[in-house]
Amino acid sequence: MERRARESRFLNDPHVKRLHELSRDKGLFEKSPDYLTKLRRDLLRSSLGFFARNSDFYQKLFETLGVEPEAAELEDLVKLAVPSDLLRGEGIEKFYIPNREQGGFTFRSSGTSGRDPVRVYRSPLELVMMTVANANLFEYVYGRFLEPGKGLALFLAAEELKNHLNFVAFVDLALQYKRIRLLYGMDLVPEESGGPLWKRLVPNRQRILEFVKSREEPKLFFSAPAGVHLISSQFGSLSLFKKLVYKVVAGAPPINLGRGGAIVTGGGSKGFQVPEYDVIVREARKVFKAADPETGREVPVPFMDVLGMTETLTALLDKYGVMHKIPHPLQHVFLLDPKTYKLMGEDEYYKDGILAIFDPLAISWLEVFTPGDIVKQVPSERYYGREFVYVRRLTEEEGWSLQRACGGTLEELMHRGGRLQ
Amino acid sequence: MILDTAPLHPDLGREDLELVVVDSVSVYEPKGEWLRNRLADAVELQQELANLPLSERLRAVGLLGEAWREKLESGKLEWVKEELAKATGYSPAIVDLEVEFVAEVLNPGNIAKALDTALVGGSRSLEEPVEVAAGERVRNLPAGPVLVIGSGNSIVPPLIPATLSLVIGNFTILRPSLANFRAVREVFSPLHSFPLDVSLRRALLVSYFAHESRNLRELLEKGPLGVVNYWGGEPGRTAVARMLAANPHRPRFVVNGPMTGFAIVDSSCATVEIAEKLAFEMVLYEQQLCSSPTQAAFVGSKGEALDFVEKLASSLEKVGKRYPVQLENLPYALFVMRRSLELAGAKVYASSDPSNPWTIAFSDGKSALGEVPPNALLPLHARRRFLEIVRVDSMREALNLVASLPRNPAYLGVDKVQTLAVAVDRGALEEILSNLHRIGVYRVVPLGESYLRTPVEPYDGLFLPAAFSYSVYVRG
Repeated sequence: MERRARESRFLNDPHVKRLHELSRDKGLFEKSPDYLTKLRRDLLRSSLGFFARNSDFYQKLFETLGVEPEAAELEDLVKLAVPSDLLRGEGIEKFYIPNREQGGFTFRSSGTSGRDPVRVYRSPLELVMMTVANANLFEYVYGRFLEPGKGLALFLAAEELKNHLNFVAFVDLALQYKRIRLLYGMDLVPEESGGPLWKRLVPNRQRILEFVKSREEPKLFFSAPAGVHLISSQFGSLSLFKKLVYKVVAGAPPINLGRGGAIVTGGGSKGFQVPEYDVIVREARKVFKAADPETGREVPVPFMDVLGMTETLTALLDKYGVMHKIPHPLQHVFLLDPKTYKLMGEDEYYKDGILAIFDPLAISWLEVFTPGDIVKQVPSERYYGREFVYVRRLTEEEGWSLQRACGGTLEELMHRGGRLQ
Repeated sequence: MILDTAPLHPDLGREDLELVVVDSVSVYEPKGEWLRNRLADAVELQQELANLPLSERLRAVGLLGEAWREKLESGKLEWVKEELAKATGYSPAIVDLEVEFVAEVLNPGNIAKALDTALVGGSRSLEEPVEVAAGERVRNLPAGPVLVIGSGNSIVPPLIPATLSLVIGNFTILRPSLANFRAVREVFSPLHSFPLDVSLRRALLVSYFAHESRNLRELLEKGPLGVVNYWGGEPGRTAVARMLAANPHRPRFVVNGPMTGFAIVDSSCATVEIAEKLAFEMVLYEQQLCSSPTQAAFVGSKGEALDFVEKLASSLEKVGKRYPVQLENLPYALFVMRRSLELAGAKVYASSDPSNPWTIAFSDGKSALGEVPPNALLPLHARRRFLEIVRVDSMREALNLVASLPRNPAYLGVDKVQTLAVAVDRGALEEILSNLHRIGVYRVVPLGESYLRTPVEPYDGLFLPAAFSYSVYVRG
């Protein structure tokens, strides 16, 4: 993939070349919010120019919307944001530039909503930028450098999902980049009912046991919140005798994640009834243990959560009790007022807003979209100046569903005052 | 939950009612046996009604109008207004207008004029044979019993056919929708207490029937009905037609299907005044009337068209504010549709005020609305204060848009354009009139008057009084 990315003809485009360099730049995490805002504004302008150069569709769209690439401001993103529902099925096709590079992957959403999933193609160059940028963001939120080749990871998912689900892909690519071995704790059973992928998963006990017993450090455990909750509940409710048996066989509970160990959740509830995140964390910390990487002292297991969608090239990450969700420095997150769909100010804190994202690293399509989530923004001392708290999925307001008043006939008006009014 | 759908008829006792459970709600309906008995007596009742002087029948309707006005003025109908505003989403200011219209619909003078126009031999032919040619006479008689399956979410629409049917002398069963049932029943409730001939008081049954109701099915499949007047679209229309096909009494099936309005403006008439009239038509009843313009053609240059769009936008801002709707947020689906229109090439002008959520989509040459993906399309009844204006070069192209509207995916379920509202020069109007056969509309009116009807107007190409009666020819 890296070879293909290196051979990308788009690297001859100054805009894409710059993106490629910026995606690797860890120094971005030390810049000021103002610096990064200006950088993102510049990238927006060069992005719009890039898309106008490479697609008649975008050229016309910008014209219709009155957006001039060379003079665009971040406020213009409101005009460009596409609701994710419009990307479902074949909906995304018209957004791709015609000369996008082949040989990449197509990711698809999980289908939790029961509607046509969103499928997004990523070219080799995009995949490389995505991997590096996400790995850098992960390390920032995790709090330290991950030594390449050290440690072990378990993902409570099946390997087949990595080409489909964003969260799985995000983890797989980042760990490949770091050369950290990843075990998949689930298998995908053959399709019978045609249900969504994540409902066809069965545990692979052997690989889970391998992870539990391993003494490698750090151990990183990735799962949907439901998976963490399930393991915590199962271990937590064991009788004393069974606990002893498990302890002898697997060395757990507790499941020791060792120095630098962490639990990383993502993917939402997937329709399962799971407790509040606080409860999941509290219960999991009774079953999982971790130690400070420097001192080796036991610490409450760090929890991170990934908010990634099929449509986003880079995710938003948080660390429980340390920071709320924070985007990659290059990703521009903006909120729309749910009453009016106007842009909310970056200083409108603690108010519900409709999440909207612009990711300049996407070059196959102009990635400006609203995934359909409500979040709040809170002030932050970190590089982004703001952090985000997930509130809920946006419920689709049917709103006006009443039957038509066919034939409402107001002949009487003709007679009011004896003349037409 | 039991809904208050107690039917209205003087002979109906508690023991004659049946509680019908539909999903989680229960509604009251007259028992099948009671209905059969009433229908068995209907022919005799209609004879008595037909022998009553027309003036007596009109007086009854007039009294209903007066009673309504009195209640309105004494503030006794506040609950009706509140219920309607809540059920329909209309601005309270629109509901205020609506409840005032009720008394006007029940105006005996208007009804008499409608009968005079619609019936061969005029209204007098409802009382006696009237000479229509030397030695040739016509007497019009009630064709009922008449079942009116009324539409909608306001009071007025079901009142018109029910009132005409009643005055003609039919035993009339009015089935309003759940949304307006209580309001419609309130209109007719004084009928039983007026000093009227007993046959008049017994001539109307106002009753809700659930969609899956056994009683409704029996009525449609077996009831000795003369006319069924259905207001609405699919799937109800076909379901009713199927049931009626089995009815051995072969009732006449009169459908007032779902339709919409279309406006044509040419550059010579693109004034602020016309923009304000169009804005008012978009705001009135939130475009829920079959006559409300929901798409428009502008004949002229792009510059002229955009100038008119700006005028319309300002007018909507102004007019719409006078009729605020009670909406806290702009619906997400509206946001999705507006964005889809832009992606389909339209220029979208829109309000961000949830209490006045107007939208204008300007398309050049062809309808961008027709290219919006189905999952992003709000159905017509949910597109409120919404207008697509398509700029075209000629009247011919404008008329093509009118003719092709039923094939536009954005108008799924709409039969055709009912009302063409025009603001064009004399020559253009002539061109429209010479193409009526091609465009298939039922009405051509000045823009701003789509919602206005005179008593002499037919409904969707036919006169309701004629549909509710039959003519007996007498020679010699």
